[in-house]
Amino acid sequence: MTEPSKPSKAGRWPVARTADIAPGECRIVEVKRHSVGVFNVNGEFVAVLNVCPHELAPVCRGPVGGTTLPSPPGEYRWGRDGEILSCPWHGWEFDLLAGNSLTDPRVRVRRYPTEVDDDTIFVVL
Amino acid sequence: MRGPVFDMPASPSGWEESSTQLARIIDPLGEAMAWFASEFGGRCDGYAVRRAGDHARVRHAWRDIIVGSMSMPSAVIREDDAGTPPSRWRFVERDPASCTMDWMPQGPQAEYWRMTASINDAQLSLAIRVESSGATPIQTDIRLRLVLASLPDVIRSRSSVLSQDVEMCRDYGMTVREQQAGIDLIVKSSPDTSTVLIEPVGNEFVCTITDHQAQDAPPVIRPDGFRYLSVQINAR
Repeated sequence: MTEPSKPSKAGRWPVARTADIAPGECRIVEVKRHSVGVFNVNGEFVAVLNVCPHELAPVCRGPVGGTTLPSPPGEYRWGRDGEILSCPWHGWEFDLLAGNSLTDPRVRVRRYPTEVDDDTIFVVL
Repeated sequence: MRGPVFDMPASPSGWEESSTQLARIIDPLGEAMAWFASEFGGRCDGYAVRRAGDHARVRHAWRDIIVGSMSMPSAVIREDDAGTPPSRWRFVERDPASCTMDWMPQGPQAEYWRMTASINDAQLSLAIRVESSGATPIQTDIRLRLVLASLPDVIRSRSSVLSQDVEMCRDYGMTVREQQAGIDLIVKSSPDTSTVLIEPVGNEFVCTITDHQAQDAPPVIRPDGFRYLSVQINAR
């Protein structure tokens, strides 16, 4: 876990360079004492509180992958690679782009806004 | 390995054997935790803060009491009409630090209730918003009752009614502050006067909050208007 430098302005915290986080990867940082995972979701940077709503697990340490898509009976389609985060404790899956659980959309991970300025990723917290 | 927050039971006291689904929310820094039961009227059924490495329960309720009577001390977000099942509260969504519940009336009423709760920096925030979507004014009022544990470090005095310091609030119309040793309760309401009473009941304190003073003359929400009541409790 890395400690970011001081914010350049209130509430906007630099956490990494864009080149530091490849698509499908995550960097866990500490922002204002909050543990936050910063994901590169196919070029879009997403910040998630590192707490699973199920049993408070460090959800951002889980694998990122895809899921099965709607399909006719007997046919299986795989898609959305790099967009689905699985909790390492109990396997709860969350849509990184929307924040919701795949099985119960009412349960969500907490996300924070991100901004990219030049090559720097900022988390707004 | 535990999570980055802190080790707390999945339910508050008295709910361990219950099959009731409780929505648990936590302070992202691990300083506090609260539980909500949408199937029992959207109640807050527990609120604990961390003190010196231990967990102090500031607000709690027991399921057997709640099942027996919806008007018994608890965090009654909205008191349903007599004989009306409380199941009309609907759990909307939650994330680790906040949850939202809605209430829709059965019948021709055009009012819509939304309760949101969140914890940040150990402060529990409850907000209730009532909207009117009808063509005519409706009468309603917002009430909220909390049971605060009489922990020595939370509330030391057992005086019957605490004094109030009322000041104008630009955003909502009125702010009421209660200052006690170790607890800070703030109520914001729109647009009428708020009242806050804290009274001892046994070893606990009941905090009753309404958004108007005249119980027999509930306020009117104009068509497409709304009323708002928010409460923040910081007992760290």
